[in-house]
Amino acid sequence: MRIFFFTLLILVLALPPAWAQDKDWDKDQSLVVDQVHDQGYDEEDDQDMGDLFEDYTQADEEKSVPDPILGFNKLMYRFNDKAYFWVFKPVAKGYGRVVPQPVRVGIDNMFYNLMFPVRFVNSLFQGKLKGAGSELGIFTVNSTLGLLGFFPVAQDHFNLKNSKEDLGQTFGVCRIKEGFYIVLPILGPTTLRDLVGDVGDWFITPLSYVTPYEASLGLKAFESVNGLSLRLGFYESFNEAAVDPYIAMKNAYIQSRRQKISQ
Amino acid sequence: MFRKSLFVSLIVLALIYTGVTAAGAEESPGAVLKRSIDNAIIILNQSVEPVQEALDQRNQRLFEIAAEVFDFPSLTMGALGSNWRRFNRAERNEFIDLFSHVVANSYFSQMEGQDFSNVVIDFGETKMLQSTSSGVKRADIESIVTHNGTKTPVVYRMLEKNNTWKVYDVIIENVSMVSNYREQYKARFMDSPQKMIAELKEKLN
Repeated sequence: MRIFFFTLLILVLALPPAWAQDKDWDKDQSLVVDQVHDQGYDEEDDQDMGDLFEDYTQADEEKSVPDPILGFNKLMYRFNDKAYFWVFKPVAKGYGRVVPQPVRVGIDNMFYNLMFPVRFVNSLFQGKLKGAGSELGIFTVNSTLGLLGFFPVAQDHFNLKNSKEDLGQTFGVCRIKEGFYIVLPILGPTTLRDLVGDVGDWFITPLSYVTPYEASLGLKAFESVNGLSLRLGFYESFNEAAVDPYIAMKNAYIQSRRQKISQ
Repeated sequence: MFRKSLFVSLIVLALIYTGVTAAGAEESPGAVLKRSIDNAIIILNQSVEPVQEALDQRNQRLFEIAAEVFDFPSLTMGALGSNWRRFNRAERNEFIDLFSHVVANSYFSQMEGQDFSNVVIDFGETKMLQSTSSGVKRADIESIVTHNGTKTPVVYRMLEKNNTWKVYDVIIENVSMVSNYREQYKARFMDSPQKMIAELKEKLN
């Protein structure tokens, strides 16, 4: 008897969603105009799908980052888009023709190596002692054996892994929310939280202390152009794949940051 | 009576045996993925005349490989999110076909003129994910793609369908492709399916 009630209870609990699904399905069925069936899609797929993207639906429901300054952001987005095609891409392309690729990769590594204090300090802030230790090891080995960071000896031969932390992520780990979305001229997508984080990190970025100020700015521009020369075409294909490139960019930025914080 | 039960047990044994061999023949998700990627790289490394016709032909072959390992219907459903329910079957089929080509083309265009002989793909762990409530098995295959000296983490999210593993999402540098499209299409809830189809057609031309 008890089993009977138990089964009944399970049935009652399980039925409402199943009904709801069926109802929707009927609605869909009534809409069916054509019975063409050649793309490999069939009704069973739809039933699988109902729960295949359950975790995605949950993520959708998580509060998305607001965009109260949409007008300004869109303007900056268009500005950056033009700046990319008119200025940065031609410069990076020309630079890439003159400087051989292995040298550009090496320079990219050197700039990355210089950002060690940011990664080290924020790993410590987040209590990731192993990550901080690994960063210290990588910096020591690459700065010496790797000739000022040109060769990533520590990662390639000592199997050390980077702990890519920054202050924005540290804030995230402390459960500080993103605030709102901002598109900065030239620098691109960020959020209020990450922008404050970047300002904080600026104080422990060696390049910030290069004088005069113009030289520091010049080095940062050089870092960007060098990096871009290795990633030409990424932005174009990202745009080409997107239905709404502005939203695609915002979503990619937020997803990537949230994922990094959860790691 | 004895004969009958012997007969039945023989049938049962035979059934179990075929069941076991069928399960044994099933490839792991990592193996299925690796085979497809290897096939695609072979095509990418063959020299192609820089004529549109030859490039189209190569892209068609690549698309065929992709269609084997990608579960485009599921991928499209996920990308459309709640909009999927507003599409009738014919529209769904048309959308799946167009959408898979848009996704593929954007990646093919990036490949043009690139040297693929130095692409290195290191496959990492296969992480089995929790099965869906209806019991569909899922797995994440981690990989690191090294190209032009830059390393990009790529995770292939796969599901088991009809005894084979298929990719239904790709997560590049922590960004899920399906989630990304989901948010883009979320803003299109006012557009009719026909308008969304027309938009993809325009993108393909």
